[in-house]
Amino acid sequence: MDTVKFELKIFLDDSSDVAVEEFIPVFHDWIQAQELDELLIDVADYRHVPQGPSVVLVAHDAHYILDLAEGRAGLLYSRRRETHPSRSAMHGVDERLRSVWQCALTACQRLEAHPALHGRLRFRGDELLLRCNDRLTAPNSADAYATLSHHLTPLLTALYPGQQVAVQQQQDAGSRLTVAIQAPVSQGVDTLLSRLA
Amino acid sequence: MPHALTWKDALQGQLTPELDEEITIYETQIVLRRQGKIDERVFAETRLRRGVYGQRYDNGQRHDGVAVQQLPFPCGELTKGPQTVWDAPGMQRIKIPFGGLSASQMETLADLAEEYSDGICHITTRQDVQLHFVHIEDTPDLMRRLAAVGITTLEACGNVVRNVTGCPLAGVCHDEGFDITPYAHALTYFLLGHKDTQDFGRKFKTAFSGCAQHACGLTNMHDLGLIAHTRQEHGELQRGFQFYVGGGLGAVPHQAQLLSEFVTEDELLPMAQAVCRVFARLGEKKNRARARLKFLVAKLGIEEFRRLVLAERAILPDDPRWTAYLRDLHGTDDQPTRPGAPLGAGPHPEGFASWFESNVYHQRQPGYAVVTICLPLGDLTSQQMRALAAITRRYNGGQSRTTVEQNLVLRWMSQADLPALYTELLAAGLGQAGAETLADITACPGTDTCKLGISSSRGLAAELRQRVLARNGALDPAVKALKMKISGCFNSCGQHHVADIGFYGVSRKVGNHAVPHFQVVLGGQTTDNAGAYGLSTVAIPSKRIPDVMARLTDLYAKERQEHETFQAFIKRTGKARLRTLLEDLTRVPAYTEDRSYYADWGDPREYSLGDMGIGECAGEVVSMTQFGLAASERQAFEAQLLLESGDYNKAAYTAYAAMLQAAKALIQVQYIDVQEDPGHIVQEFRQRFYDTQLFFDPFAGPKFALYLFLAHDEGQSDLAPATVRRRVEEARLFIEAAYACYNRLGQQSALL
Repeated sequence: MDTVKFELKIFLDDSSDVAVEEFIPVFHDWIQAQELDELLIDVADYRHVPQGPSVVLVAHDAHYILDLAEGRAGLLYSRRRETHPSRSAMHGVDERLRSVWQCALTACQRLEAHPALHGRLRFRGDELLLRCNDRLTAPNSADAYATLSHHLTPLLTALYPGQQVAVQQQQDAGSRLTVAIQAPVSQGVDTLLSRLA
Repeated sequence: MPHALTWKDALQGQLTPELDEEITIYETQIVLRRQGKIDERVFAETRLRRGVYGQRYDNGQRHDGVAVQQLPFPCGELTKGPQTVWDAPGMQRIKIPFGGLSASQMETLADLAEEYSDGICHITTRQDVQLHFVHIEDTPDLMRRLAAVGITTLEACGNVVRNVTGCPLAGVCHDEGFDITPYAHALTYFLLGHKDTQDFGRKFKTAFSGCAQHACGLTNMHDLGLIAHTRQEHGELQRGFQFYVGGGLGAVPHQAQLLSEFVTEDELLPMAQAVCRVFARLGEKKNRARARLKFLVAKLGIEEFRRLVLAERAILPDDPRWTAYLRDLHGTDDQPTRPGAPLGAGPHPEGFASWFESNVYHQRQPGYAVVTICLPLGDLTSQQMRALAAITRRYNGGQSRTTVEQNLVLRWMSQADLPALYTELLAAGLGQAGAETLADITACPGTDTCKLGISSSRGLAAELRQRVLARNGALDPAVKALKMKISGCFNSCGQHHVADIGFYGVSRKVGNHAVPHFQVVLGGQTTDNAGAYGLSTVAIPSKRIPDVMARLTDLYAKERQEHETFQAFIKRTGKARLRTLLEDLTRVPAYTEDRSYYADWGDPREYSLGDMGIGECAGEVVSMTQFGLAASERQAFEAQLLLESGDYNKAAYTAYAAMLQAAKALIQVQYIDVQEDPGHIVQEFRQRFYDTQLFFDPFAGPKFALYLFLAHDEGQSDLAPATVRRRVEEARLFIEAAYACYNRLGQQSALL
């Protein structure tokens, strides 16, 4: 599984009360402040596309997407490459998965804390979608799933200690290897980040 | 079976050898550019000719609303063209000839959008597909995956023949002369990579239409516009084309002029070739603003241009491809897979009636319909593209076409299937009614991604679309039928000139601040193949454009005479009154009073022109000889690698081929029809450059020319390693001498 192209979607909690367009100025703020461990470049506005990547924060190594696919809003972190100095020495799937979680959760944490959205936005820590966005090296096959599970299990054990986390391969996800992750108890973004550290 | 590590391995055998080699060449050029061995200008045109286009902020800086911020891409100083940073995301344009897409092609586009872009497939105003935010180093894989399903990105951008567009109703329309599809297909692949189309000063756009009166082909605004026509000749129905040249939009729009009332089908390809030759020979090369064919036609006059084209046609060497395709004109036919049957009595799903009214066209074949999938701003997600591929497989054998209105159409749909189809489209988020109405707005990328964008055409289009949809039920039917088109600048990629109501981006300074504006362009016409161009009326701040739309459409609904078109209404009303109607909207509140005017739609940053860059629409003027010399360098590089790997026979041959390529490139300065045969090339080179001493080095004399003759005489196999090593080195020196010779020739011609 020699790929850097992992995607992680963290769903929005139903209690969230934020309009999609509110993310646009927030993402622009982030570019202005170069808020994340990324070279942040631009914001793409696709609000006109139903169930699409509604607002995209484009970075050199990844996209941060307010994703409305299948009618479920969430922050989709889509890693494309690993050139940022913070990722320069990264090797192996274990490290990559931790890094993807780290970036996605950090973005969620900052969104929750942003003054313009504060108190109105919550991400669910109990339901996630992980995808390998690379059909060549990680097709949606049983073998690739087994390999991914091997690397994913210790990470989920660390994130959800003592919990029975369900991991299910999505058969209807086209040809990309995709797994749904469901923990019995929701954990806050801050908690998950602290367990990742 | 071992797991493939690269797409090149994975797709082995699935590409045509020509495309496989072509993409391998491009990969090598990327390597050479990274090593600084290809000039950035040559590399820019190289990638442009493969559809790899620059995007906003690729000069490495961006205005963040407060100040210009540097974007420190990891590549450092490496560029992929003048002022174009290597690592900056770019756009990949994918040519879709006459808009024809198969289900497997749609699925591949969806895959590529997910893996290399941002999950969005964008349909352009010229029936292409574009993917944005693509990294240049992903482009060879992307091209291979496209090539595996029969798509090439070759000549999607650059100073070449761009995508050949065609009416999406071809073959099913009630009014067409005949189906233009096989002709568009034949012309596309005849001109693709043709030697006579490689030396243009600017791009060259071609469109086919099945009839003169409708809007589908927009032939009047193309460099080459072809309208299907028939006539009786000796008692037989003969097919041909009304042959128009020199149309174009841009800052200075020109209507195409009729070069010939009837070009017979067997003369279509050679006449197009003759036009290309005249354009390559006489078209402007230095002044980029006047290098399109329309300026040449205007300068010479249509009579003289016609004379030149016919003279060129008379001396063209015969080519069997001119007529070979005529033996089977049904190769491009779509085949229905379900029997045609009328629409049932219902009941039908909610919303079906209005969708049916606006999005369904009854084919001339009974029981079949064309369904338009209305795509907001030309965008659809990868999931939608994949869903649509599955839908087409179920209903019409897996076929669709893109349109110049940035939509997709499904043809050969049994009318009995329409309610079920509608339900499936709705589920995929593709059941929007209102195709080709006021809400179905065309817009170029504008400031979203285009380096030349001045105002946010897409932001405005999204806003106007919302407002029209909100009023949709209350709109007068005549208003609903109007066309609205928006460009982010005067270059007219959004085709604002041919809309009933068009807008193009401009800016105005108010106090110390820039304010995004749009020029209001009224009176254009899409019918009659873009039969009339509108005229600019007044510039209005971007944030007041929705009011412009409301006032104009309200006035039209209220005051139009029976059956009066919008063009006629605008003409009757007069510019003075229209200007008065909109005058108060020109006022911009002071910065301290209302800052919303100082930002554009969908973008909270304070507006600035600081993000504009140098556009790549005009490409780089790189001559065929420069391309040939660059290709010879690549071959010399490959010869070096082969030598290092111990493959002496191949190394010797490749080094020899590199010299031949360089010699051929030089010969083309004088003689474009040079053949591929090595003996012919060597003979021509000897006669034109050796005997004349043009190739002689000022100090070394004939030395470098002799390397070619020696390699030609020595043969290519069973040479001693030392001989091969010498030849590889000589190839490099020969190429350097060829460059020097080319430069001397350029200096000599500049002195004349």
